[in-house]
Amino acid sequence: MSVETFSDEQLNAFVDEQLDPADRRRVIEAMQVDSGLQARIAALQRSKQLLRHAYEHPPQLNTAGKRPVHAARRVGALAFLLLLGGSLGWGAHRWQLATYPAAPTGVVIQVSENDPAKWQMALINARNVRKAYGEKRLGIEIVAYGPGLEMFKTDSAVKAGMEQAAREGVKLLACGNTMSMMQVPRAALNQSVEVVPAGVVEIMERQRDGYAYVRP
Amino acid sequence: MINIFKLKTLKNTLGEKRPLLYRAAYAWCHDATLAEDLVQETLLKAIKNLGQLQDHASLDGWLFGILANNLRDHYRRRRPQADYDELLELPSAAPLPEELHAESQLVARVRLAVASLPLGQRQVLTLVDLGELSYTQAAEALAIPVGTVMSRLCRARQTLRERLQELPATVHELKPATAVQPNRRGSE
Repeated sequence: MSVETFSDEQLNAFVDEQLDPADRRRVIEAMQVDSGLQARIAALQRSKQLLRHAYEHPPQLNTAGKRPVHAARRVGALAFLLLLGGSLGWGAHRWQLATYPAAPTGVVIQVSENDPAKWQMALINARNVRKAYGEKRLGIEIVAYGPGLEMFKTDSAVKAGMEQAAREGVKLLACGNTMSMMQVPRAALNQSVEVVPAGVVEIMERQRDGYAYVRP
Repeated sequence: MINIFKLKTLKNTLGEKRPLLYRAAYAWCHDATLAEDLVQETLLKAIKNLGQLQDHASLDGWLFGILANNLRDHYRRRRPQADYDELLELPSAAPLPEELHAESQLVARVRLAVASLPLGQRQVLTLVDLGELSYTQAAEALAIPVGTVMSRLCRARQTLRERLQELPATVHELKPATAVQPNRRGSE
């Protein structure tokens, strides 16, 4: 099987969700086996996230230049950085978790869309967090609910990646409410998936436990 | 045809768009005063011309289009057209870091990198990443072909990647004072 190549324009369109469905599927399939492609996509995602972060709080006219830098905001920025690095595997090895206060005890990744690209990103996020934190094992959970439950079905487009993640200790948690609402039996889900009563509650509880929240 | 009820709802919606417009305007000019003026002008024009808006779904694109026109008019008032075209295509003189009013090194670095992009690239990047416009909507807002949107976006992100490559270094500068590095050799 030859590895398909994609232009920068195509990959930009992919991260901006502007690619047509057929091309999108091709990128997702290639991503499963091509780590170089994963890295290119991660770099583009990072650019997008950095930009959003940089302009989240533009200086306002009346307070421009006078706004105090709150410690809380700094910690927020740090948490963002840790997440960003963790989720994208970028330079994360240089950071040491132990030196930061209120470091996350784990990460809970939300999947609520029926979009294989998002599923793939969730798996990459999980893997990169694991890589970044190395021995300091933290809990990693992928919680799927609503339309995102499709990710966990037996015929999922990311079946192989999911099973590998489960072997590596990532918890795959399906929302029980969604299952009963959509009438999805346990047997329709991949064997490596566990069921929790409610996806959203799971996410809230883990956040209370100090988990960082990521939604790719 | 938009009826009175819809007009009222749209006017309310317009107010909610202010932060979004301001963010983009600031990312374009990195000047809080100018950005505020541009947004104000945009909302006034939008209210006046709401009747012209055909398709409710394209409200964001329409507003960003007005914003882009306002910025262009602002530059044109001060310089000839040729200068504006140049501004769109050539790397710009970035503002001084202290003008960026950033709450963190990281934010300052990213804003600085964005500010140094040619205006044309900065606009496309901002509309897609902050405004969440589709390529087609961005093309319409800026009155340029979709192909131009894509190529500008590519170049913009390429440049950002190069400029921000060594960013992890700033993470250490960001470390809060309370975070003390444990002295591993202390017990030796």
